[in-house]
Amino acid sequence: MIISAFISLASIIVSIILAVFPASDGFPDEFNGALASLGGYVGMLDPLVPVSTVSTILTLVLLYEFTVFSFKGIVWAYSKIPLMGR
Amino acid sequence: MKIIVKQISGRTFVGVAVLFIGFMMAPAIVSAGYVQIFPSEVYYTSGEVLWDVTAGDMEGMTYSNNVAHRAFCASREFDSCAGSPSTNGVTAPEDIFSVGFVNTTDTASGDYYYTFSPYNPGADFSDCSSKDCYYFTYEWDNDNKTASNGVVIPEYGFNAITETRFTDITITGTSTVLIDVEYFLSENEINTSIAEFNPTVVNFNIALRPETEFSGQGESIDPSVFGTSTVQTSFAGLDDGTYDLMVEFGNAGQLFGMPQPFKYSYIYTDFTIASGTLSAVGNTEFYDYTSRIDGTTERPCGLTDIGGCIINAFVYMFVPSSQSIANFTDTYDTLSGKFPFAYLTDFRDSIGGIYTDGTVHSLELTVPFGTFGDITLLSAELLESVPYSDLIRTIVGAVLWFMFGAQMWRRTQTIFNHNPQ
Repeated sequence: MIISAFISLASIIVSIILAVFPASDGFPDEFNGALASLGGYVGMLDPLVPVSTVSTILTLVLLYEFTVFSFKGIVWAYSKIPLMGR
Repeated sequence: MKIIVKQISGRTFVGVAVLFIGFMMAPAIVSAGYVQIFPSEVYYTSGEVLWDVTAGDMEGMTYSNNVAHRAFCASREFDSCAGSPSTNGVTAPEDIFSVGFVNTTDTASGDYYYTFSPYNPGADFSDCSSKDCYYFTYEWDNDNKTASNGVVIPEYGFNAITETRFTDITITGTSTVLIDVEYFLSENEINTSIAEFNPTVVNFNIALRPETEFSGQGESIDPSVFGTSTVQTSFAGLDDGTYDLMVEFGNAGQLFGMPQPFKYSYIYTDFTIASGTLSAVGNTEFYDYTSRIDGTTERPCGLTDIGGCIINAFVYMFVPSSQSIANFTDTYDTLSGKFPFAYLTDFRDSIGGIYTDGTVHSLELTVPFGTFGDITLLSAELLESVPYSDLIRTIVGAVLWFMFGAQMWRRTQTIFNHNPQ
C-alpha cells in the first residue's frame, strides 16, 4: 500500500508535468546511422575493452546528469509561479 | 511556500533528487539489462540454440532489425513473421508459452540480443518504439558452440496464464494403488511443430517419507488429443508408510536436454500404505502457472498460520500493486516519447545497440604499405591474440566500474555541497 501510493503519486505528478511537453520524433536517421557505424569501429576494441560495459556506464552517467538537470529545471520553473514560488 | 522552495534548494534537494533519479532510472536500468528479472534456459542441439522462454505474456515477438538472426514467433495469430525478412514463423502457443523458445543459428561469437514485442495486429513488429518490449540477451561462443549469460528481461511483470494443466486426481485401490489423473491440453498451447516440446507422458513420482528423492514411472499420453483426458497408473508392492506423490507432464526429449513441457503445472499429494493396503489419501494441491507464488500471492492466514498473516500484512503494505506498476510503466513510456526526454532514451537505446550489430568484429584498420600490401593496424582478431586478453578485459571492466562509482560519489557530493541548507 505504501509503495503503491508512492508510485502512483509519482506517476500522477510526472504525467501532469509531461502533459505540457510535445511528442518527440526521435533522432534523425543520419544520427542513428552514424552511431551504427561507430559501433563497428568501437567493437574492434572489445577483446580488450568491454564495450558493453562502457556503453552501460555512459548510459548511467547520462541518466544521472539528465535527471539532475531536469530536477533543477522543475524547481526553477516552480519558483517562477506567482504566489507559490516565492 | 517560500520556505518550502528554500528547503527544496537545500538538503531536501538531494533526497528528492535521489527519489527522482530512482524513478527515472528504474525502468531504464531494467530495459538496459542490468537487472535480471526472469531467467531463461538454453539448450544446444543439432546446430541450433533453443531458448526456453518460459514466461511472458508475449502473444508475439520479433527482434531488432540490425541483428541478422531468425526468431520463431510465438502466437498462432502471429504467423505473419514474413513481415520481417529474417524471421521464421511457426505455430506456437498463443498467450503464455511454457514451451516457447527462440531458435537462433549463430555464426560468430559475441553478444547478441533480441527484442520481443507483444502481438499487435497491424503494427510494425520490428518497431519497439512503444517500449512494450522484452529484451533477450546472451553471449555466444561459436568455437565451443555454447551460450552463456542468457537472460530474458521484461520491462515489467508477467500476467501469464496457461490453460494446459491437471484438473483432477483420484487415488483408489487396496494392495495395488490406482491413480487416475485428469488433465487438460489446450490446442493453443501445444507446439505441433516440435514434438520434443509436447507433453507426451505423465510422470507419477513418489517418495517414501522421510525420503525426499522421488522416483516413479510415466504413462504415455497423446498430445494431439486436445481437451480433457484421463490417464491411469498403478503402484503395487509398496512398503508401509506415507508416500509423497508428484504428478507432472514430461517428454522423452527432456532426457536429451530439452525443457520440460508445462513444468509449472503439476499435482502434489500423498497417500499412506498400512499393512500393505491403501489406508489414507492426503490433501491434494494443484499447481499451474497462475498458482506460482510470487511477491503478491496471498498466503494462508489463520491461528495455525500466523506467519502467513504477517507476510500478508507486509505484502499489503510494501509490495506495490500490479496496477501501480502498470501506471509507473505507462508514465515511463509517456516520458520516453516526449521532447526532450525522448532524446535521452533514444540515445540510450542507440548506444546500447551499437555493439549488438553482428558486424562489429568484421571491421579493421589497415594502411597500404607499397608492394607489401595492406598492413592491419587494428582488428578484433589482432587484439584477441594479445596474451591474457580475457584477464585484461576483466580488469579494464572492473576499473571502469570503479571509476564510475567514484565519479558518481564525487558528483553527488558536489550537488550536496553546492546546495547548503
